[in-house]
Amino acid sequence: MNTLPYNKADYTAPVYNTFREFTDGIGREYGDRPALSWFTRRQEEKTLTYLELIQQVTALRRSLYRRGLNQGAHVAILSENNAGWIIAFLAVTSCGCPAVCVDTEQSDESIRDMILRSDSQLLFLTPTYLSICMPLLDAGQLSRVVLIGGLASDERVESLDSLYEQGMVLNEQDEPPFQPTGDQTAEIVFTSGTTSQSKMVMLSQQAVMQNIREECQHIYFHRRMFSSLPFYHAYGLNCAVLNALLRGIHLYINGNLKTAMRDLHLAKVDSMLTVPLMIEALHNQMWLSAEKAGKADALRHAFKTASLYRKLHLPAKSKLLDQVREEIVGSLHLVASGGAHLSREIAQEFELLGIQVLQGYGITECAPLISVNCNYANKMGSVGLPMPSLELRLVDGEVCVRGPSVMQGYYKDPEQTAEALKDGWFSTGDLGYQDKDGFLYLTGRKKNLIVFKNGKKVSPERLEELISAIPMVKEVVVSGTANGAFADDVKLTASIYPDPQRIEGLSSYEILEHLQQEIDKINQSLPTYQQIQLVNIREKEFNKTATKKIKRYAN
Amino acid sequence: MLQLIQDIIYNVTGKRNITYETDFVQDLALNSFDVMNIISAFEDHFDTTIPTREVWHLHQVKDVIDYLAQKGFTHP
Repeated sequence: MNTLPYNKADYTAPVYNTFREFTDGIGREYGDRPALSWFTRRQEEKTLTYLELIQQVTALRRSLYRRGLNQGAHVAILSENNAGWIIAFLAVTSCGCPAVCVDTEQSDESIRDMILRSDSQLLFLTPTYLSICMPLLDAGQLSRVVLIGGLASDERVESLDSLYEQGMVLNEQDEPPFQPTGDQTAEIVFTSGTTSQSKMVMLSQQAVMQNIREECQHIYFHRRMFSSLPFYHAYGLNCAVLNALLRGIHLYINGNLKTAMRDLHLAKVDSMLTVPLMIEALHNQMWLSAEKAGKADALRHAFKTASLYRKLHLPAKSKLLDQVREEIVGSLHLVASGGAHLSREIAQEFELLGIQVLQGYGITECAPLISVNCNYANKMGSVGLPMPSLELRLVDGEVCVRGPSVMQGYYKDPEQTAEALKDGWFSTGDLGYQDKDGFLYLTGRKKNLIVFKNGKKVSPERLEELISAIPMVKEVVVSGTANGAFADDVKLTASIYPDPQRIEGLSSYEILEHLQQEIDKINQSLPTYQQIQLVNIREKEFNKTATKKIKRYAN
Repeated sequence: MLQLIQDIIYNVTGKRNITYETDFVQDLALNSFDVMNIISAFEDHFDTTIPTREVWHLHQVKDVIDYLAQKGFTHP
């Protein structure tokens, strides 16, 4: 039995070991309660109850089995956040098949590469991605495609709606005869590696179930939660979607950053799971509105007074702060933040507004939650207490973890797996320390990954490979140049040592202009967060190690 | 059109001094969330949808104006 030592809530998370138990269990437990809601472009609210959700999952599972889906077949999902994504995921995993969660923000070529490398046999996708994936169908590298939303116009493409309809008339006898087991792979999630290709992390059914259950022991979310985190990341999928469903709470999903703010206000939620980027956007909005209304000074004063009252343990009531809170976040009073570092000042101002901010820390390879603060044991600046079943130790300051939610390995990459997992211990690449109460604090990164405020991570090696292909470039190092007060407030910068033979007779201005044009072309094929924002020209070669590798931090 | 875009960017981000050549990321230091909020404001104003993957190609103010012109949207 799970107790809740830190959140004092009278709540026991149900124990499920596989996705089949999970889908059957939540349908049975929560029935008519609203499970998922979202808003259309015209701001109409659409809702699925737990019963409706699981009916659709069951119908799809039976339908897929009837069409010959075998246990263990890899099924990819390539879609913006929507209910169809979740239904496809639950149908596939409750069938004992691994769901391959494809990152929609990658270039067309990377998307095709992810589908091929993961050996996906079936692909669920939205119409946006159909043209990107048609070459795979034409080349026979993919046998079937299911369209989430939209009508199928090719015989190799079926619509999700038609599969539901066919599945609805099937019965118990049409269920797959095989049940998933806890040690089977449930998710294959892509992660930014330190090598040029993204790695495919395999998470077992048991690992995911364990991690989402333990999240309940640390955080008590209320009735209505909002998340706009992408489902293809373990954070958005496991910590937000699956955890909300496990608790039986009402989750508002958002599929588009463009409407995230609008939907947050429309949803009138009490809790939100997000990344620092969104919290900072709300914070900026607050100050911008105050400035426009000529109330910035009054707001600064109100924060100062409230902070003083809090230090004196006095109740701090402020009409202005109440008004600001109502205008900016409505009924929201709990925010869980992860993926990157959140500014302490912003967290403090949110606390003074009456919004509790709980910071956590996770990594895809750990399904993903490693530690998180608790409602009644929250230390600002820390990333909280480790998950109960995880062993945590610090090796030369690096956070290493072992336990049931650690990945099975990297798909088709025994070498990288052996390097990452030693005797069951996973080295995170993050540096940190624990205080006397066990709270974890992160201080930096050992690996080369560049971490942004939205939790996105960029492997510099991948971009360096692209830039090295420019003939004028002899050597290049991509790094995150500080753009603010914090380590993950960065500008992607390419420092280039040009090939001396190719720049003969050219002025510095001409060299820079040429390189900028070439990098602009590369940027065109990359998502915004991966685009190079600054180009520096070097006059000297980079310092190198004995094996002629560039010393990344000694230049 | 430039005036309209200046107003939209100011309303969303509080940033001023916008020209045709202003780059959202390099000059205004906007993050992906700010850029999406601006695009969302354009969508509302012109009652259109700009697919997220097309947003990647809109770096400068003039790219947005060209994009909207291609879609048939002009503004006095």
